[in-house]
Amino acid sequence: MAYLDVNNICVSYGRNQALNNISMKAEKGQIVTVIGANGAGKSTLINAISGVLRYSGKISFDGKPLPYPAYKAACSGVIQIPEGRKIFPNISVAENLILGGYALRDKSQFESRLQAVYELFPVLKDRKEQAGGSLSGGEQQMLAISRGLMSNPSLLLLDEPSLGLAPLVIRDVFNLIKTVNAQGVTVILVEQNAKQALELADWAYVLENGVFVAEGSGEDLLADDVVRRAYLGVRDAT
Amino acid sequence: MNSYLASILIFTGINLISVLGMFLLMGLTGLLSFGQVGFMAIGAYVTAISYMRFGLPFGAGLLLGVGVSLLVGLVIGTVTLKLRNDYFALATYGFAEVIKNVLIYFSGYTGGSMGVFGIPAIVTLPMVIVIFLAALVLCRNFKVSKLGRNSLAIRNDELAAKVMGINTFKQKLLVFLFSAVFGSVAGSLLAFSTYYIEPNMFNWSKSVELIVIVFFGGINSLTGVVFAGMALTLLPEILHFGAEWRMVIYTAIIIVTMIYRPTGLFGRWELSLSQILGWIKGRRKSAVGRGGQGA
Amino acid sequence: MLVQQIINGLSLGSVYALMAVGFALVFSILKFSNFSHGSVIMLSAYLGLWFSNRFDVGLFPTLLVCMIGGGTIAVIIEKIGFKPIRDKNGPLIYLFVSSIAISMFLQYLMTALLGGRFFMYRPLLKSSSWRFAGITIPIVNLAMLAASIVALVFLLYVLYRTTIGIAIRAAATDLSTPNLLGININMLISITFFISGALAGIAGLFLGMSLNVYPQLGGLVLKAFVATVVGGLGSLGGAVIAAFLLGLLETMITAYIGGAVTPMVSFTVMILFLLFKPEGVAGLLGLSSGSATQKL
Ligand SMILES: Nc1ncnc2c1ncn2[C@@H]1O[C@H](COP(=O)(O)OP(=O)(O)OP(=O)(O)O)[C@@H](O)[C@H]1O
Ligand SMILES: [Mg+2]
Repeated sequence: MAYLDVNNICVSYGRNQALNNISMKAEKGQIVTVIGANGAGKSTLINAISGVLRYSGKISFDGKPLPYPAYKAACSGVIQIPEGRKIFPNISVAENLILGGYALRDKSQFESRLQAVYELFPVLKDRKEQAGGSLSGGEQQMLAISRGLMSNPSLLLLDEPSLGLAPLVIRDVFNLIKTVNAQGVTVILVEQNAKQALELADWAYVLENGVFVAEGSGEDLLADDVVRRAYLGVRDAT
Repeated sequence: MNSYLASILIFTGINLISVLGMFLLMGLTGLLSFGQVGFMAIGAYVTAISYMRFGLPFGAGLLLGVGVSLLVGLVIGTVTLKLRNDYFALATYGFAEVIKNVLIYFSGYTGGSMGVFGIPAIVTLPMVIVIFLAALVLCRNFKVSKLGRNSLAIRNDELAAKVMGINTFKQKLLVFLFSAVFGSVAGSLLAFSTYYIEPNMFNWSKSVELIVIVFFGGINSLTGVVFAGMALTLLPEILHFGAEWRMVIYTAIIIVTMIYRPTGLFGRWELSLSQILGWIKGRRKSAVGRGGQGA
Repeated sequence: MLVQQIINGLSLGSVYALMAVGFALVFSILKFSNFSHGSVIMLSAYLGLWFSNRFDVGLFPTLLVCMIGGGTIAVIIEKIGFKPIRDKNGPLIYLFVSSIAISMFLQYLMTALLGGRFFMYRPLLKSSSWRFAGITIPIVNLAMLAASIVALVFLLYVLYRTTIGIAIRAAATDLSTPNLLGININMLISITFFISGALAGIAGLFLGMSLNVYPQLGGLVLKAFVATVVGGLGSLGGAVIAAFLLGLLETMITAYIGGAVTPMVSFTVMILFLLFKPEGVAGLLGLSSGSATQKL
């Protein structure tokens, strides 16, 4: 059985079915990407896996059923970095990171996690007393990812981390994801920014209206005609 | 009719008139006000004092009370309706308290905390029924008119209503004045059916009672609110075992409703005249209610 | 005389501050004015009365029992009266109305059980007043002031130095994200209610000791309401300052003008504040934390 095994899940909002029999897998240490347009159901998928939304079907993680609801999933090492960052604007950067460490099972690791995060993002160390809301968009995304990393997750679910960021900053974010992955964290990356996300991916899925319409290795999908036209067409111009 | 029953019904009718004002303000427009009781007090005292002291007839006193309430409502409304909804709620509470304290303090006219005694029981059941029905028709027409839709728009999203071109301040003031008039009339009727009035009859908990009735019936259903008003005014009279326990049961019922049926007992359900006629003619199939408008 | 009134005003203000902070704490994360807070105060006062008589103990054990009792009562109220509405995503105004209904229920329940009469605490303190340089101050007022300040400082410590406290402050701006970090939000809300109730427990004990115990004692929660609004809704610092000011104002007016006009003057002040400084004391002092556009 795969490390993360999503098996035939369905999610609906009232009468509106947002995910329809979705199955996907991720092996330990992989980056698996899901691309899709606005409203395809990407956030819904991430929220189902991380236990925010109720779903039918089965999800197993590391050989066991994935705990529900969200806080239990987080405590078992499945951490979501939500769309729109959702850092806490009214408390300091350092306090954001303290809350990030809430799910650490071994609290004595806290200091070393903090040092690791500060090493990854020296800017956060400089700004640690500043309110989270006073950071720039890019810094906030870094803080959101750092906050997620504080609990030493095994599986990181990223929902459109490039949203609203300048191209240069996007590059930094994607590089960071690679670094984190290289340290052994399995990553599920959901993106509209298809090209860069696919370049990163060991395996990728294309989501349309709540169903997967294609899957393959990142390279294969980058070469695929349909995907090129639908997701890379205009944006590929760069 | 036995006079005990008549007096209960009169009391219920008066309560309902005040409740209708609350329905317009809170159910339809979403403005929580603790001030309704203040207007009841104004109506009651103005009518009673002008009758007892200056020999003004009851009808004229009632209208005078309405006039004073409108004036006070205009001032209070202009000042407080620009505030956020929660501040408005608090300010209206302050208003009700101030009115009560004015009544206690200026005891030369009001009798202070002893109140005004010996008011004749001029109010009769038919009189209450007629005024209640008039108020009900007015409310119903308000709800289905453009004004009612404006109110709902404000309740749902005040900013959006503003963007749609509704003068939200004017609309809120209008509704506030409507509810003040309803409260004032109810107060006048109350004074002339209970022989005496005192400031403690106009505690803020009375406003709370009115608020709870509107929620119990359902903020979207005029029918529900009327039934809730009848039920919750009559219920304490019917549940006659131990006066202390009836309020306990009454409030417990309200809590259970709030938790298990937060849209109120009646939801959006409305009874219409044609349905009633339909029932009378034995055609029961039209029993499904018309929905209210807007979410 | 003036010094005496100032100290009495500050002790009254300190109890208002305890009530207001508990009130503001719940408001800051759930965004509704929790009137059932008054019932917690009232029930704690009865609890302390019963406990101190039954076991013949002094102030400190009674204080402890009132805090634990108040906290527990607040959590039970949350679970029964608010959580079902929150689970259904009901509008905030339903929580508000539910809190009013609960406070009425508990007030009538106590009236039905024990009658509307006043109960008096037996003296829990050794002496009843303190004379110093010609002024006389009731000991209960000093104890009240001391206990409130200790409790407020401790609260500050919890909110700024413990993970749970930081989470409570974070939840004030965002109730859905803490879940993603492994924080059980329902537990966090329960903890918030417990803290708020424990503070109400202290307030209940002291109010009971100085005003006697009766079912309408919870009505004093309105002072907390006034203080939180004048303080700037949701701002704990503003609420504390406003509560002290309110206590001082009321004491001064009662002493120098007369008790009959006290409510009128405090409400006039409040309404003036609302009109000209709606962001409250917090806005005045630049303390304001969350957004000023929270609805009821
Ligand atoms: N809370 C909700 N209630 C009702 N419908 C919802 C809700 N959230 C999402 N939906 C619907 O479910 C579908 C999928 O939404 P989702 O947010 O998962 O899309 P997405 O792929 O993340 O889009 P985006 O790129 O804009 O973030 C959409 O049609 C959306 O309208
Ligand atoms: Mg999304």
